[in-house]
Amino acid sequence: MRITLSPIRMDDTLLLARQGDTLTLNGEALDLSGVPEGATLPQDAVDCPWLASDIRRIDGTLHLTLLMPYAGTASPDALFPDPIEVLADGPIPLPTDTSEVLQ
Amino acid sequence: MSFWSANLKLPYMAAAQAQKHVTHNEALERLDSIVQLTVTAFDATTPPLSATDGEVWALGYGAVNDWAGHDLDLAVWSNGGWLFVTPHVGWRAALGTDLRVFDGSGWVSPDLPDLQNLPGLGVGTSYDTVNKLAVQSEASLFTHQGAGHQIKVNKNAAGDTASLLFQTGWSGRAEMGTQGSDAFGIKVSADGTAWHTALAFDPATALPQGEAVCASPIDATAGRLLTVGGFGLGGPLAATPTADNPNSIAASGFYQVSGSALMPSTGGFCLQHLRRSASQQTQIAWPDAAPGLSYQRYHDGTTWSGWQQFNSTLGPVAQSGGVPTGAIIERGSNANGEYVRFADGTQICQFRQVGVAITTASVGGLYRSAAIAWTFPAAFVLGSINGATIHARITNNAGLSVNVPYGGRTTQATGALAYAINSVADTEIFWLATGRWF
Repeated sequence: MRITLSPIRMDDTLLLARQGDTLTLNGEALDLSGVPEGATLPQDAVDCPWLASDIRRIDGTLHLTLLMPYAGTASPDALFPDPIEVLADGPIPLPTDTSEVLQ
Repeated sequence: MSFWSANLKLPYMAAAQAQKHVTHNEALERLDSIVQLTVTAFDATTPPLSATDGEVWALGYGAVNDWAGHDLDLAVWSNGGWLFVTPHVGWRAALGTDLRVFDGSGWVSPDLPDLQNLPGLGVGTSYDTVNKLAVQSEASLFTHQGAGHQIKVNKNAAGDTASLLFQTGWSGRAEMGTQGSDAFGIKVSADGTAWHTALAFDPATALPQGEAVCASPIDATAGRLLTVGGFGLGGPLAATPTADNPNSIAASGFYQVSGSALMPSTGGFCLQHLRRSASQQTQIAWPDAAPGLSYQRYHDGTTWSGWQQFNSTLGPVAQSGGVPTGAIIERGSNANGEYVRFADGTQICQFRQVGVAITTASVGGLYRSAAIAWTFPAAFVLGSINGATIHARITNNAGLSVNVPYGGRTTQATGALAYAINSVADTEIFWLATGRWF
């Protein structure tokens, strides 16, 4: 799973976790196992406020963009993040997790 | 044998002398003049026009007329003529009660005996057993010998008193000195009965105490002298009258408060209290741990208002119920562009997006892009924006600005199409979105 992070200044927080093809965003499960190879799931077809793009499966890997909220200040890594490859199940660490207080 | 006695120069009679009474009377005349000597004047120089028989003048220097040549002699008017007697050192003469002694060069007041161990001395008044030196006078003078003069008031032990007492009609009104201790103090009384120690200086530190000095850093008694540290001036901040209770402060000053639920937070605060009257009081507080923040509240005579934060100009903005709790302006940038947030809720987002292809033939000979999306660098609040504006800048071509719906999202504008006159494979577009963040 390849997730492009789209930083956005807002006062919410996002807790992200992965279990197979299912993403959990702040406790809400998003099951993407139904996206076949080569297919595109339009963004508007998914009821998820954190989703910022269509979802594609390319060579078996899901590609999507998620909003990454931060409040006030954040580190350069969080403001201009690189896409992350999620290979393992479990909580997905985000660049904003440790950068809240950096000026 | 001389014809004259040694001391008084009385004439002796000679053996078998004729006219004995003359010599005898001459001796008596001298005795009558100089025994129990009283004079009409001391230091006389001019003979009187008339004199009484037996009257004596003690001459000074520069005697004239009949007295010429008899300086310092005694001039006695006797039997119609002047009899001059030369006094010896130690002779005494009186003019009324003015008793003088001849010292060889004039008539002077006799030396007093040493005035030691007198039972008492009253000058113009009487001494008594307590006041063994009593002076009744408009003033008393103690002047310098050499450079200066000291009046010494000694006491036996520290617990005794050495002081000057000021009385009105013999009733004490003020006393200064070391009274009952070695601290120099000034006591005052309105009636001679109730006394107040106005000032007392610690003999070791010289620091003042007493009813004229503030008794504590928050002693607000009117008229008292403020000491260093009073109301937080010149020293550590003052403690509040009731421990860590900002509502207990009544006097203007600088205080410290910590752990109070009445403050904006339970941490430590430096607090300034400004009081014009009971109904015009203001407090300004700075938290110990958050530089840049400050808070203000006011008292209307009945109750304190809530705390309102002064806002920093730049920094993260925040709000609570519409009231700003952060900075006034926040500017930031991230991978989605730049944004500026204002404390009143206004938000502006901008983004320069590159790599946009406008190659699809569209209506009217125009070319359009594929649907493109922009995630705002900062989120808007729902319903605060009507859309986002894009402006395509195309080399050698006029760009078109297109207003696009933002798809009902607060975080993203989607479905935007950029149009151009010519087909352009790679250009950049500029996004602009305005709205509110709360």
